[in-house]
Order: sequence, then C-alpha cells, then structure tokens
Amino acid sequence: MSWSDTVTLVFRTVGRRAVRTLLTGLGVALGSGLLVALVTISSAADTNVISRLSHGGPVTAIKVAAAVPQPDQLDSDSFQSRGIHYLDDQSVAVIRRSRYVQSVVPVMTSEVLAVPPKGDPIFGLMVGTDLGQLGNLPITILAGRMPSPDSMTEVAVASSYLDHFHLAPAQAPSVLSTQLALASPRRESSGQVRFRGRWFRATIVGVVAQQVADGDFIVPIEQTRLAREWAVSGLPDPDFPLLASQYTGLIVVATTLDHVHDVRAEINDLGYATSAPEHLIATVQRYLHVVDIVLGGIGTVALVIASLSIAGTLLAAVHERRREIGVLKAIGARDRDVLRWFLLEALVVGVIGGIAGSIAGIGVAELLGLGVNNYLVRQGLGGVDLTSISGLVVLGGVAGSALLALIAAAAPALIAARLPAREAVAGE
Amino acid sequence: MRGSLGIPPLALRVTRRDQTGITRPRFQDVFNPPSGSGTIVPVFAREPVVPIAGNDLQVTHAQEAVGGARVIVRGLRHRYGSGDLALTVLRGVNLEVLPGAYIALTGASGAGKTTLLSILGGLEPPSEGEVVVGDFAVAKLHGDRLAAFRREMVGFVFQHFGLLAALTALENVELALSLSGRGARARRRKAIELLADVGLEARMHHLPKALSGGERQRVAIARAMANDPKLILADEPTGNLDPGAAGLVMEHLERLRKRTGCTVIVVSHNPAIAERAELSYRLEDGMLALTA
Repeated sequence: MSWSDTVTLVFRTVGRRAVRTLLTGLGVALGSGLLVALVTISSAADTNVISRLSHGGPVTAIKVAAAVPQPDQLDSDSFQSRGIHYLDDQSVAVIRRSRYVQSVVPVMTSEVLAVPPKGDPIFGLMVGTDLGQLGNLPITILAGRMPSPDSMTEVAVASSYLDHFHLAPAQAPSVLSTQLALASPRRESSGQVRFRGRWFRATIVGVVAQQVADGDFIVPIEQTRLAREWAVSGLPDPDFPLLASQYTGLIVVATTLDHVHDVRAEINDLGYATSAPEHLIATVQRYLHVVDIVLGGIGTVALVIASLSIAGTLLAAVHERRREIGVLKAIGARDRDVLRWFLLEALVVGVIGGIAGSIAGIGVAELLGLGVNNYLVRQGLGGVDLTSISGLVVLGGVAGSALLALIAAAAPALIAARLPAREAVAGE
Repeated sequence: MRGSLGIPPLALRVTRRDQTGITRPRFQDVFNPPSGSGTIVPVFAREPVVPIAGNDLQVTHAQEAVGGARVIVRGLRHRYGSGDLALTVLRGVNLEVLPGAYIALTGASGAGKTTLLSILGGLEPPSEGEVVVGDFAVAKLHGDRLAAFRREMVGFVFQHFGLLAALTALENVELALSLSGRGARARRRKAIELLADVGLEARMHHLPKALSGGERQRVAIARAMANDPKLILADEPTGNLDPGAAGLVMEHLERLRKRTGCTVIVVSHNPAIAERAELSYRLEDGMLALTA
C-alpha cells in the first residue's frame, strides 16, 4: 500500500472516530500545552531574573573603574579598589583585543547642577556614554526613550530624579518632555565667584533604571566630554582627581557568561578594578535550574500521561479492529502496511494535539505574562517578554508531541502488524 | 495424495480410503443416494465431474478454465493449542480441485470448515500437510510472499463482509487494487467497473453502514474479484442475508466466476447455497466427505 493510500486510510479512520480522536488529541494538547506554557514562563522568568541581576544589560557585562584593584578583587562581584588608575583609549584598545570580549563601551561622568522647571536645583552627576550601544549597557527604560546618540538637547533621568520630587515609579511619564537647565562647574581662579557653569538646556525624553555609573542624568558621551573639557580648563580641583582620566569607567561585555571571569582576570592583570554579578548569577542560575527541572518534570509527566493515553487508545483501536486488520491482511496487506497505518494514525493525533496544545500553551503563557507584567509595571520594573521564544516553543511542542505519539504507538502498531491474518475469520 | 494432477478431462476415478470406521458416502451413493438419506443429493448434473469420496478426494472439472487455480490438499491436519488442551480440527484431509471448479463445503459448527478455508487462503499455516494453490505451496509461504499470494491468487468473501467501515464502497474496492500497486486512475476505473458488475454503480460512494447486507456482500465480491484472483474463498457469504439478498449475491458470484473462470470454494450451512455448487462436501470429525 502506498504512503498516500495509507494517509487516506488514516484520515478516514481518524475522521470516523472523531470523538475518540478529539479526546486523545485533547490529552496530547493538554500535555504539550502544559509543557509549552511551563517552558515559556520559566524561560522568560529565567531571562528576566538574570536580566534584573544585570540591571537590564547583558548578563555578561563587566563594569571597569579607573581604579587599581585590590588583591581579592576577583573573589568579589563588587569593586575592590585602592587608588586611581587612569583609563584611556590605549587601555580600551588592549581590553578590546581580548578574544573573550564582545564590546567595550566607554563611560564618562561629570558634576552637574540641574535646574528643573519647578522645585530646587539638584546637584548630581551626569553620565555620558555611547547611547548607540544601548544593548550593551545596563539600562532599563521605565518610561519614554533614550536620548539620540548624538543629541545635545536630550537627556534621560534616573529613577533617583523621581525620588527628588517624591514621585512613584508609575508616575515616571509625568516628567517626560519637561526641560532642564544643566550646568557643568569649573573652578575659577579667584574673586567672589568660585565656580562658573557651562549651561545648556535639555528635554527629558526618558526615565531609566541604570547601573552604568553613579549618576542621575544620562546623556550622550559628547555632552560629558565637553563638560569635562570645560572643567579641566579651570583650576585643578583636589576633590575631583579623576578629571584627568580620559574615561571614568568602561562597560565591557564578555562573549559568554562562562568567560566573564576570564575577562575580569585579564582586566585585573591590566590593573583595573572590575565589578560583575558573576558569582550572584551563577548561584541564582543554579536555583533557576532546579526550578526549570521541576517545571520541566511536571510538563514531562503530563506528556507521558498523554502518550499513555495515545498508547491506550491505539491498543483499544487494535483490539477493536482485529477483524479489519485481518481482512486487510487477507486481501494482501503486508505487516509493514499495517504498521504504517497505525504509526501514521498516531502521528496525526500527535501533530493535531501538539499544534492545539502548543497554541493553547502559548496563549496560557501570554495570559499569565499579562498578569505578571501588570504587577511588575506597578512595581516600577520592566515586563516579561513572552513573545520572543513562542515560535521555537510551538515548533518544539509539535515536534515533541509527534515524536512522543510515535513512541507511544510503537507497541500497539507492532501488535497490530503481527496480528495473524486469521483474525479476518476469527469467531466464525 | 494418490490422485494425479494430470487427470484428463472427463476421466472417472473412484478410490476410497477410510480407516476411521466412520461410515462415509461412497461414489455410488452419491449418484444413487440411498432412499431416505436426505443429506446426499447429486447436484452436478450439468457437467461430468468425478468425485472421490472419503479421505482421499479428487474433483475434476470437465473443462479446465483458464482463469482458475488448481487446489491440492495432501494429508492436511490442523490443531489448535497444545498438550491436554490441544483441539484437533482437521484429521488428514485430502482434496484436489481442478481449475475453475465450484465446490461447497458444509458441516456442523466447529467442524473445521472455516479453518480449512483459512488454510487454503493462506490465512493460517496448517499443523501438518501440504496445500498447493496454483504454483504456490501455501504452507511454505511466509511474510511478503504469503501476502503476495493472498493478494494475487485469492479473493476472500466473508460472512461479516469484511469491509473497512471508514471507507466507501468504491474505496474498499480500490484498497485491494492499491495493495497490488495499481495507479490511482487505473484502480479507480477498475473499481467502478467491478461495482457496476455487481449492480452498485449508484451506491459506490456510500459507506458500508449506508448499504444493506446484500449490497455490502456485493461490494465484498467486487473487492474479492479486484485483482483477478484464481481462487475465490467464500465463508458463509449469505450467512447474514435474507433469502432474496442471498440469491442475488450468489448470482453475482457465479456470474463473475463464469466470466473469469476462477475456482470457487464456498463454505455454507445453507443447503440451498450448497446445492448451487457443482460438488458439495461435508466436514465431519475433521474428515472430508463428498455429499453431492
């Protein structure tokens, strides 16, 4: 019997036993749906937790300070420094050459006085960096957007700015589009004026949670470079020794999480203090792995139950169709024709159930994601993205269900194939 | 088996070998039944057919049909189970059916009629003995060769019709053609012809459940004829039919047999059906006896 004839036979048989097929398919759908939902949610949660640990940036991001590391620096996730070590383009070039380094983003901070439309002026730090490499920076946008990479009139404020006005994170949009007058100070030589400011106006275009460097205002690096040039052109200030360093810090992204430690060691050898949540992430990942195993186990048990349902249904079908199988053999079908018939039938049920289950699973995950996101946003945190892995999970769910259906059908199909042709006349 | 395969047409030979002590009809009893016997009725007046009664039977047909298979059974024994639970159904059956013959097998329930039919058709292997259908030593066939034998040589007609419930009448017939590897268009054309032959061209797209018993059996006959078999084995083909439908089914079967010349062996409880055959045999206590 040809494949196409077998497929026709399978669809006719399946269609004739629509209710049973539907129930079996639903069993598979529930199993695969549960597994897909659990995998989707746990993957998204894992990503989100790790992302939170890395403050919205890449999990392999390493912060480098213009400082000399302490001997125990590599044993700690945070900076352990003991003196200034200027960071310049030469050091950046050396770090970039490491084979485990994916990118290096320079960071420059500068003192600033900000005058908001209402309320008291704020003394703070302006953080300048390459905003064209936003994906490599530990920044989470809470509202609005980031300034354009080369804009000199846009600024993003950190959540500390909201604290200044006693605003909750959910009220972040209220500060968008307001204008700030910002001034970088320069120490003057004498007279009554000790400091003179370099003033500029900027519109708040975004509110962010950021860990690039200590600071309240995030601007393109050109803005801080001009501010530092302004400051350096005045008298030296012993309170700000880093003004002479080309960069105050770097954000270095390692190629993989496994190489974070290696990159930190290389930078440590160059004489710079580093900070990265590598130990924390490793510990959290171990716990998340346990959670994944438990969730995956629950889903797998559901799928095994579904596969047992397929096996049970097919065994019942074999029992019911003993005579039909016998007749089929009596008119010349080979054992492998019967085997193919039953395997294809299971495959059809598995694929139908897998598609339905995967779609339902994604739907359930999306619904849960909506609830979770509402909660996270209310807490001033970033939401969970459940859409980026949907396609892969659906494919995996369908393929897994089909494979499981075939495995579950193997024994019943073999039993059917080995039934003697005499079944055609059994009981007569 | 003492009969020769080279028996000339119209030859008459009678042998009797019965060591069981059971009274069996003799040749002369067949042609001159004892008064009051009632069960032995000569029915093959149309053609000169030579029966050999007892456990060593030869049946010849006057004119060997080109489309039929010769069937030879030698020393056939069959039992189910083993040890104390063994049940011997056939106790040494010998039979020769020449190509194109039309014979009936009768007997009480459990006498082994269906078992004999199953062995002839390759549905189950015999415990002992030799079965030859055409050029095939059936008892020695296995796997794909046995499937090919059933596909190419034999057409089965079952009491329960044996139609696949999920397929229409046309698809049931096509299924048999599909197994022999015919192309879609060719098998569709032939299936329609076969169904038209049994008067079901208007019902070919109906599922079996929408057909009457007689119609289902006609579909089964069309399917049995699909691959131009040399041997038709019909197991109680009218067992589930009313007399009218039974008669119609047998008419179709006999008409197709005449047209194709295939050998037909029918198992039936129904004396009227048995009487339609050229020869009628009775299975009793695992032995075969000619009754008519």
